[in-house]
Amino acid sequence: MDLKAFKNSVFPIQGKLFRFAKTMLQNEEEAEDAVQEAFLKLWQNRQSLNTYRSVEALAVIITKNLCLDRLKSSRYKRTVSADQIDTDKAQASPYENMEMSDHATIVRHIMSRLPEQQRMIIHLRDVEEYSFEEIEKITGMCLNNIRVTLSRARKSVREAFMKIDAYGN
Amino acid sequence: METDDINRLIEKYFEGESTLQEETTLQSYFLEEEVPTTRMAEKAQFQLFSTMRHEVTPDMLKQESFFSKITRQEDETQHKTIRFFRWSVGIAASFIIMLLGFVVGMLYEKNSSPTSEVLALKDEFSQMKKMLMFNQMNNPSASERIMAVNTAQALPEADDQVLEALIFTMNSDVNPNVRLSAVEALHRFADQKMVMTALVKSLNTQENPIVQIAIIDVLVDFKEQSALDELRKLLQKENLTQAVREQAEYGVSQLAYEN
Repeated sequence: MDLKAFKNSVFPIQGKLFRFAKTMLQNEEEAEDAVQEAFLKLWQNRQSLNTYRSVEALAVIITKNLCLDRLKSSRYKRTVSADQIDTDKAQASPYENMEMSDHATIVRHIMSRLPEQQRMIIHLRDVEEYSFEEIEKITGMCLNNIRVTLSRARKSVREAFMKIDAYGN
Repeated sequence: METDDINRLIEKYFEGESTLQEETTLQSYFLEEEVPTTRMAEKAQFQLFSTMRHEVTPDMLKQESFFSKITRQEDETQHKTIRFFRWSVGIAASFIIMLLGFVVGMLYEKNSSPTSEVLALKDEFSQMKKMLMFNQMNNPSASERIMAVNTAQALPEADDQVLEALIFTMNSDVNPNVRLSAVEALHRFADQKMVMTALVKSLNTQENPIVQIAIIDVLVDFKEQSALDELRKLLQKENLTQAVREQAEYGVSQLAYEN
């Protein structure tokens, strides 16, 4: 696999990988680093890439592992600083109205507080719209476990939002 | 869209039991239709998911720097292997050269050791000297012949050929001075049996007193017992020079005393 073919095969998934890494790490720079690292790993294994049924699944798995490694490392700060939220707010689409932007910011903040696993599952399902089979493959979790985790994640986001919204309004 | 259906789907959704298709339905509902204020939480959720899904991502692959970094790393590892290869070749080459040097040196040592060469040269030189000397001994000039005898005397080692030449000169040269020189030369090699016998024999054949005295000196110096008879024979000669007689008597006394 030469550089051009490699680019063509990983180009369509770089956005997914980056969004996933960003949800996992809650930091744009860290996410970018993780994705580049994942690409590097893919590139180093380019000879055997054809033997995998899905390069995308492999790339997501690699990214997931890299993110978990980074989260485990003691250097990584799990707490999200206040200006982090501001940055996210600044990047919201200008086409959204202010109210939706605020609500989305709140949900984003809530999501960043979810446990790692819930954050991962809800992202894979609700943002990237992976099937349960694909999520099983990526996370190595069983279907039941995935459903339970997903349900918990969705419910806690909703509950947290309602609390904040009720307090805010 | 029936509100009951939506409510049912929302319920399924929060239990984690909805299908992807059902979730797409919910999505379009929350993003596109009027949503009651009691569903603001769900709306915000779906809104965010949609936003995230279409979020602008840094186009890493378009950044040539990233791929140039990847390929550079590759080049570096290749470079490293090449450099390592060059190094190893250099080291191997130097070892081979060193080994070659040793082998050549050993062969050279074996075939043409400098000491053996010098010895051969020396040998050749002394041979040439000898040849010159022999030639010179037949020279008509007496002084030339004396020089030849001196050359023979200066030789570090005299072989039979040289000694015979000296003895012949001592016995048969016409010039007494040359004969005297020959006796003096033979003095150095008198420890050899052949020389001593010749000296003893020569004692009574020599006519010249100086030569006779010289021979007696050598005999006494080496305490040659076998010379006693010859010395006594010499003393019986009537026309013996006084000096020779005295020297012969002295010699006899010395040798007899030793005895």
